[in-house]
Amino acid sequence: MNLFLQSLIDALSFAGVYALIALGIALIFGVMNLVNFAHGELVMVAGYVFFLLQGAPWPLVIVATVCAAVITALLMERVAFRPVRSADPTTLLVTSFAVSFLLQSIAMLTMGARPKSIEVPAFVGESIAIGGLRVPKLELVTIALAFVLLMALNVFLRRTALGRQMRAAAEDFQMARVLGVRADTIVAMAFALSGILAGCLAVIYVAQTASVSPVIGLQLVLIGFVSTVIGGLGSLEGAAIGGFVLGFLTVMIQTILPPELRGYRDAVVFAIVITILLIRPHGLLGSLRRSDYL
Amino acid sequence: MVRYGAVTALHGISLHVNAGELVSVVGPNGAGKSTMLWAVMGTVPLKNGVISLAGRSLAGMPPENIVRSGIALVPERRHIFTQLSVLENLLLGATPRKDRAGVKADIVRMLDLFPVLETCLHTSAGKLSGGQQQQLAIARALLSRPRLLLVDEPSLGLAPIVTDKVYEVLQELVRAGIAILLIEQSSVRALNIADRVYLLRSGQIERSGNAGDLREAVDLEDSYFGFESGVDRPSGGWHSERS
Repeated sequence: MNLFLQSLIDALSFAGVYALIALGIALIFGVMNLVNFAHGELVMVAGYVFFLLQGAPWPLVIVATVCAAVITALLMERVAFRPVRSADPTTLLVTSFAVSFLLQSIAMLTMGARPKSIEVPAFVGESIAIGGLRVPKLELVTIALAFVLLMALNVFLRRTALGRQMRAAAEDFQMARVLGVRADTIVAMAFALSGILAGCLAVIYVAQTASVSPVIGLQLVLIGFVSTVIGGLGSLEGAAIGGFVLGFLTVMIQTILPPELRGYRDAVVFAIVITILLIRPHGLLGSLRRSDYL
Repeated sequence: MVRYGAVTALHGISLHVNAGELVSVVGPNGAGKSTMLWAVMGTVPLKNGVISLAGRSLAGMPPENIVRSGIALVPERRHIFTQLSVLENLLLGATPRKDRAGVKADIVRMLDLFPVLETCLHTSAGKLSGGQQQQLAIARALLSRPRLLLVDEPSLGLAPIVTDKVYEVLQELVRAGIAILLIEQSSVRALNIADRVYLLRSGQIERSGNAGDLREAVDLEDSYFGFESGVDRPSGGWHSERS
């Protein structure tokens, strides 16, 4: 029983991280019809800011890390994506790969290709006892942060004028503009929100791994992309659910598999993902029509 | 002129709508009627030509600024945001406005005008019937307080009784001083309520004139479905744009 509960907490923590990255990707896809493969680089840039500010007070480090991701996201939108916004999706996709490689290259040139280790405070590695379980504090923080961010995003989208405009733009961008929704504002807002999610994710990720490298975004963006596809590309709820499903699967299969087969964990996880997509080709909450997104 | 690649969708169009006037554009499928409205709203780029409202050129303006200048669109097939509630759709129509109290009062006015919407204010708009969605689309457009309302095929797919209601509202709006440019395939209906009518075919205005003159002179249904370019027909009060 304890092992199951322990795995459940691990799974929730994993799932929270996966949901955050998936939501960042889904937000941009909703308003731009773009799978932003440079989203992982927001985490990478934020991770390096975390690294550079080591030794500063922790609140300052966290705020600066999130701000770095937001600023990078806004610059990415203004410099790389806005000029090609009306281009076909292939052009946008290629642009996102170009931005991704560019940021990775800049990081390699300025910070080096090897991972940089980061000293995280001792309390990050501490555990607390809950019943018969020893739960790492970082896992609890991760679960809480993911929950708070998901709720805050939900409130923003449902309760504010800007959120309403974003949901409308995600369903029918052209009609939203015809009603007066400002395209530049909405797209910039989507990038800023994805930056906030990436920045928060960077804080968690760096605290978990205690290192940063130019390619940390690669695996994250793939996880995020797979999560959004599982949930239904373009659906925010779907992305969050897809992230949770993938996170749960990863941890639970790790737990269930015999030790000698754990090396095949990802193969088993992705076999299940393929099965899900064979049964629901448009994802758990997806549909054929873009107008059904969100 | 509006072009899609090598295809010229609209060419040599010249039309105007006065305040408090209902002007209808009729024509067969593919004539370019809807394209014309989307071009006015700035979502389809003009190759050349001028679109202006009260003497102010709208050329090159993004759609979000065009609606702020006083033009609103009720598009064909409504383009309702199906995942948003009826109220959220209405609020989106008021996006260009800053006066919250005025918006609230106008929403109440719209619910008086379209009582069917009041009962489903918090329902997802995707669950409305076609007629309800059409009324929502008109109410949504009116919430920007337009001087010119562009309405694209409001009767499409609606029961006659619902269409009558929609047309009644359009006439009320005209009486209130709003200019309306109405696109219709149902020329009989359009002729009955329009002050003037333009006949659009293959991206060009073929004829234009007063609706009253037209009713007396031409069997329009026959004219735009069966009339072939270059074949002489009695023109009555119509002005041939290509002469």
